[in-house]
Amino acid sequence: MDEPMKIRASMKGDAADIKCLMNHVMETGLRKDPDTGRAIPARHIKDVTVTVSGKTVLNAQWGGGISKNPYLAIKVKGAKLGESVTVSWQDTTGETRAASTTIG
Amino acid sequence: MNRQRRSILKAAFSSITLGVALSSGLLKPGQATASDPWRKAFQSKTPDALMNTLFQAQPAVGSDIRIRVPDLAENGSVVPIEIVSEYPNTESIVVMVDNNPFPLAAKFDFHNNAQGYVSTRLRVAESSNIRVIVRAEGRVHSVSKWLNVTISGCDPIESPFAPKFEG
Repeated sequence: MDEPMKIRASMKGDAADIKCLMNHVMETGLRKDPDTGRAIPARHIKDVTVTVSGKTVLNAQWGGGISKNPYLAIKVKGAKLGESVTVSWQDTTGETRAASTTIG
Repeated sequence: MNRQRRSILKAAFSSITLGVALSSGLLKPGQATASDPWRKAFQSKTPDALMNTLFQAQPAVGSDIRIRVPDLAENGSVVPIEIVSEYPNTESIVVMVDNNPFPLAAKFDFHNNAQGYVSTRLRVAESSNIRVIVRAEGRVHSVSKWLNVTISGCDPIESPFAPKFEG
């Protein structure tokens, strides 16, 4: 969660390919601490939003079944070179992060 | 503290937080309610019960959904999956890992010309059916693909060989 999110957005034909790598432990809540034997509490991204020029293109809801340091790629038709893309997430503790880029 | 003052303060704080979350666009009204069946669904442990509550009718088997996963996933902690829905106007893609402790992994809702396409990485506890349910133009279609896993996604050891992101 310390490293910033990486986003790449590029045009492929008439659609923008948006790829993102988020930094998050995505703790399922099922893992046990080897020292104490107690379950490590769940802490994972539960909501992801992607916008292009301020319009929401994706709302995602996630459980613990998404891997640590989540990767996400989507395609948006009709998006144009130079439009801004923002990816934001909120996790189960209420922590949030967001990052933006332009379609290149 | 005076009980009345305490409850007023409590209500004020929660509405401020909600207000901030709503205005920042992170929380859409409707997603915030605890009664949202999708929120609860992420805690469900049985894929069949999930299917019954979330999709009123049994989805038709979809022929226009492509699921790409490795034939054999060495490391269940990081299983790349790519889903392509050829149904026009795909509204949402739901991913379930039947044998996971919590089968519902993700729900993707598409708007404003986002295509029925998503690529991500799943945590898979053991070899399992990966179930994808697509909603397009009000109709629901489903397809499953079996995935073999060598090292459980629930093991504490994270593989150093997880695929790297190539910018």
